[in-house]
Amino acid sequence: MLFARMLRARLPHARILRVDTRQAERAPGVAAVVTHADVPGARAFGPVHQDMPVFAFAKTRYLGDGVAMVVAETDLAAERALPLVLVEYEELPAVFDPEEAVSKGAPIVHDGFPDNIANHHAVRKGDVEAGFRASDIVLVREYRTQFVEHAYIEPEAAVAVPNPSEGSVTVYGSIQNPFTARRVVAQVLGVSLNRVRVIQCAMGGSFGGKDDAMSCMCARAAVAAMKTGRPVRIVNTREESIVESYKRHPYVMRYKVGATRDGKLQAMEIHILADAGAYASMTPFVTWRSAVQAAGPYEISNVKTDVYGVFTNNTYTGAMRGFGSPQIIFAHESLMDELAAELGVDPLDLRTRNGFREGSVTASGQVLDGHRVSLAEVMERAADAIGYREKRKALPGDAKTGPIVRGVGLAASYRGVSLGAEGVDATGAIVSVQQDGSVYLYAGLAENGQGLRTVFSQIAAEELGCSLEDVVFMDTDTSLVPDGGPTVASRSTTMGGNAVRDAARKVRETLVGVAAEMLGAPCETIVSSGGEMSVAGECGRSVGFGEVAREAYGRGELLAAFGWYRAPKVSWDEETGQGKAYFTYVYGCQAAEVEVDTETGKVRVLRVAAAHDVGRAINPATVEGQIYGGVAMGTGYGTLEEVEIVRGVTKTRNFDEYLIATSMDVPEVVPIVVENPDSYGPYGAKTIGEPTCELLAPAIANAVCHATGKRVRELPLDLERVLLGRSLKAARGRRGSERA
Amino acid sequence: MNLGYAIPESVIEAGRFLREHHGECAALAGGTDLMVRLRADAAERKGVFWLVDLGRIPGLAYIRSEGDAIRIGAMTTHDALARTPVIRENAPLLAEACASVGSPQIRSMGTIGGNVMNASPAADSIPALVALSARARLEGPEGAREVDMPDLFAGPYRTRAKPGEVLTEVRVDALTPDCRSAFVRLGRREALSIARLSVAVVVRMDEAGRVKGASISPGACLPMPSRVAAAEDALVGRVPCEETVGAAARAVAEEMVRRTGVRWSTDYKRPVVEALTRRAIWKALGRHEG
Repeated sequence: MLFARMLRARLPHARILRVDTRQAERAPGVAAVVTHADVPGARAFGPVHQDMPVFAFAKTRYLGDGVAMVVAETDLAAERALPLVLVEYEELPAVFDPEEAVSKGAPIVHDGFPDNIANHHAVRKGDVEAGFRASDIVLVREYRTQFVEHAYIEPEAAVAVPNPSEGSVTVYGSIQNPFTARRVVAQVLGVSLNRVRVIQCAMGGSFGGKDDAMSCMCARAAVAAMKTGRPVRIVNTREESIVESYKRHPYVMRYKVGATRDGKLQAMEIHILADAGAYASMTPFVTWRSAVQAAGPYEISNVKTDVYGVFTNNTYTGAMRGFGSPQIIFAHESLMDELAAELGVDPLDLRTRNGFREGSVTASGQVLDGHRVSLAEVMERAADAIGYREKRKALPGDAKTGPIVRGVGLAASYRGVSLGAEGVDATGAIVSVQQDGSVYLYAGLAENGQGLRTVFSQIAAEELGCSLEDVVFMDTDTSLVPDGGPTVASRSTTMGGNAVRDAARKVRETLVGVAAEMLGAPCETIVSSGGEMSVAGECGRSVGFGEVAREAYGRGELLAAFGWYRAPKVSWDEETGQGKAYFTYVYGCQAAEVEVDTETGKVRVLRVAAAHDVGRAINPATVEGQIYGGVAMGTGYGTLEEVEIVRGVTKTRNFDEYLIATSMDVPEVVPIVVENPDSYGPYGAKTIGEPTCELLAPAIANAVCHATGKRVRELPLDLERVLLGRSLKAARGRRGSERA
Repeated sequence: MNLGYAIPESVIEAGRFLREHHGECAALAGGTDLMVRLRADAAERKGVFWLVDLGRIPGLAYIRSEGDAIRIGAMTTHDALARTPVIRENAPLLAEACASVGSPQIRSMGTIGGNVMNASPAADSIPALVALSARARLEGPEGAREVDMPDLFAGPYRTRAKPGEVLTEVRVDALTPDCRSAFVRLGRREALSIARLSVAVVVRMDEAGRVKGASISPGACLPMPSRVAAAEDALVGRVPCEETVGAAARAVAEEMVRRTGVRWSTDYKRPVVEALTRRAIWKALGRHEG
C-alpha cells in the first residue's frame, strides 16, 4: 500500500503559475506526485455548482485547497517529499467578509459570479410594507453566527484499491454518503458508476461533515490508485481536517419584525448573508432550508425573506447537523424574546399567541395539515420541566446576592422532515433471510453513529417476527443496494425505515405462506413475533421462525426482497418561494436555565429541558441519546465553539484551541419525548437527529438576557461577548455584537 | 520529521546532554505542553531535534516535609500535588492550583517541574508557587544553585536557567497557622482549558484581625510571574474590608496595565482580574463572594 500526503495552498487566493513535481518525484520512497494533470475525468465536482477542484488548477481559493499529492512507500517518505514540490503563485486580492464580498469592487472568487453571490433564495408572502404599516411596533435587529467545526471523532480517512483488469476501483473510508462519494469518484475518473465500489467503514461520527470532504478525498485516493496501480491510503491529521474540511456557515442576519400592541405578528422581513467560503458545496441547499424556515414557527401574513450564499476566500461551508436551521433559529428566537420585552409580555405567551397550530399557513404558503401540529405542546412540556413560569417571574438582578445570577429562556422551532423539495427523496433496503432464520439487512442509507443499524434492525425484526439478535446489519456497499440517496436531513428512520419495512413485509409474506401450510391454518391467521410464527389466538399452535425459514428454503422459495420508499409529493416555486416545502414537520422546544457570572462573563448552562415531537420513538434510548448529543453540541455552539479564520488562516487547528463542551460543561439534560404518530413514517416515526442541535443557542441567549438584562446577538456567548457585549479576538475585524 | 529521544539516567547525565546539544533539544518533563507544541507545526519546532526525558531519572518525584519546609521533586505530577495531604494541609493553594490543571490525564502526566520550566504565563502552578515564595533548585554541569521563584523567569516561555541546568526541586515553606490562602482561576470551560486569568493569594493575620503580611500573585496577565507589591501594601496593617480589598484588587489591575500596556484583551482583563483578585482575597479570608 502507498501513503499519500497533500500539499495545500500557500495563499488563499492566487493564480497557480507552475507546479514542478520533478524533484519530489525523485525523492526516496516516492511512487508518484499527483496533480490535476493526472485527473482523467472531471477536474472539479460539487452537488450544485461543479466548482470544487479535486486538485487545484488555475487558482487557489482557500488555504485548504490541495495543489499536489505525494504518494510514497511510507507516510514519512511522503511527508518529507512535500516541500520538494515547487509551486509558483501569483497572489490575487482576496476577500474574507461576506458583506465586503457583495460590495462593489470586491475581489471575485469565481468567474461567472461577478457579485460573489453563489445563490439566492426568496420567499414572498403577502405585503410586508402593508404589514409594517399595520404594526404598532417595528423592531430591526441584526444577529451573527460563527464558523463551527463538526469535531467528529476520527478525521477523514480513505483507501482506494484499484482493480486494473476491470478498470475499476474500490474505495473504503469514513464516508457519510457512499453513493455521493461513488458519483464523485466516477466523475473524476471518467468511468461509469458501476466501475466504482464504495464501502463504508465503521464511523465515529460525521454530523454532516463527511460528505463533500470525503468525496474529494476518495477521488484523490482513486486517482492515485489508478495512476500507480496500487492501493493508496490517505488519512488527515486533525489539523489538516480542521483546515480543509467544510464548516457550518456563519450568517449575518438582519430581521425586521412588526407587531400590534396586543402581540400579534404582522410582518417579518429577513435579509441573510451566508458565508459560503471558497466553494458552493451544499450552500444552495443549506440556505434553502434557512429560507423556508427563517420566519420561525409563527403565523405571519406578510413575509419577505432573502437568503444569499456568498463566496469568499474563507474555508468553504456546507452541511452540518441542523443544515441552515441553527443560525436562523438563533435569530428568530432571540428576536421573539426581544419583541416580547418591547411589548411587555412574556416571551412564551408571545410564542403561544402566534405559534403554528393545526391548519396554520407557513411563510411559504403551506397549510400545516395531515399531521399533529404540536408546537404548543412541546413548548408547554419544556417550559414546565424547567420551571419556566415561576423562574421567569424574577426580573434581572432580583434576589441578587452576588455577582452570579440565574435566568431561564427557551426557544422553539418547526422543521421539515427529510429532503423536501431539495431533490429526489427515495431510498431502499434489502432483507435476506437465511435458511436458519438469521437475517442479513442491507440499506442504501448508512450508519454514521446515529443508531441507524439498531433502528433498521428493530424494524426488520418487528416486521418479520424474528428476534432482534437474528438480524445482522451489513456495511453499506454501493455495489449491493440501490442508490438510496444520502444519509442526511435526519431522514434515515422515516425514509429508510419505510424501505426496510417494505422489504421485510415482502419476505414475511412468503414465510407466512409456508408457516400456514406447516400449521394447517389460513395465511391471514398467522402471526409472527419474537422468533415464533403461530396461529392467532391458539396457544401452542406455533413453529419456530428458523424452522419456517428452513422449510421455505427447502421448497426453493425466494427469501430475499428489495424494499423501496419514495417520499410523498412536495413542491416549490423558486421565484416566489411558495409551495409545499416538506411533506411533514416536527416541532421542538428547548428551555435552558443558566448561571451567569456578571463579573467575568462566564455562562454555565445548568439544566436543559428538551421536548421533541418525534412522531413515534422506535428506540426511546437512542432518541434520548440524540437529545443528549444535540444538547451537548448546542452547548458548544451557544457558549464555546468558534473556528477562528483570520484572513483565510485557520487559527484554531486542534482541540486545545477549538473548544467543544466537555462532560464538565454539558448541563443536566431532561429529555422529553413527545409522540404524535405521523401518517407517513414507519409506525408513525419522524425525525430527531437535527432538531436536537438547533435550539439551545437561542435558549441560552434568552436565559442570559433574563439573568442579566443584556442581549447578546452574536454567537458564541463567550466570556468577552457576555461581559463586554463584543468579541475581543484580535481576529474579529469588523465583527461585534450589541450594535442595535 | 525525525526526533531523537534521549533517556538520561541521572541529572548529571541529562545536564551534560542538554549542554552538549544546547539549542537543539527540549527537556521532556511530562510533555503535556511540549508535545502539543511540537505537533503544532514544523516551523514551531525551532530546531528541536532531541527530546531529553527527565521523567525516567530515578528519584525526582517526591514530596517531603522537612521541618517547616516542603521539598517537591521536579517530576512530581500535578495529580500527586493535588492529592498529597502534606500539600493540601500546608500549601492548600498549590493543591488547588494543581487540581485545576487540564484534565485527569494531563494531571497524571504533567509535572510541576515541567509546568515551571515551560514558563507559560498561563501556568497554573506558578502563581501559587510565587505567592508561597517558593525557591527553585537548579542543577547543572557547574553545580547546583537556588533561585527565588520569580527570578527564575526571563519572559513568556523563557527562564534564566543556564545551558545544561535542570530544575530538580521546588521548595516551599509550610504556611503557618496564622496564614490564609486561596487560588482562583477562570477558564473558558470547566475542564481542559488554559487559564484565562488566575490569582493566588496568601494573607497572614494577627490576633486583632489585621493583615500582617500578604502575598498576591496573578496569573495569565503579567509578562513575567511576580507578586504585586502595591496590592499587598493596600492590605497590610489593615483589617480587611470592602475598601481595602477593593484597593488591593484595583492595584493588581493597574499593575497589569502598567506592565503590559493596553492590549486587545485589556478591556476584558482589567475588570476581570480586579474581580478575581477581590474574590481570591475574600476566599482566603473565608468569605465566599459569588
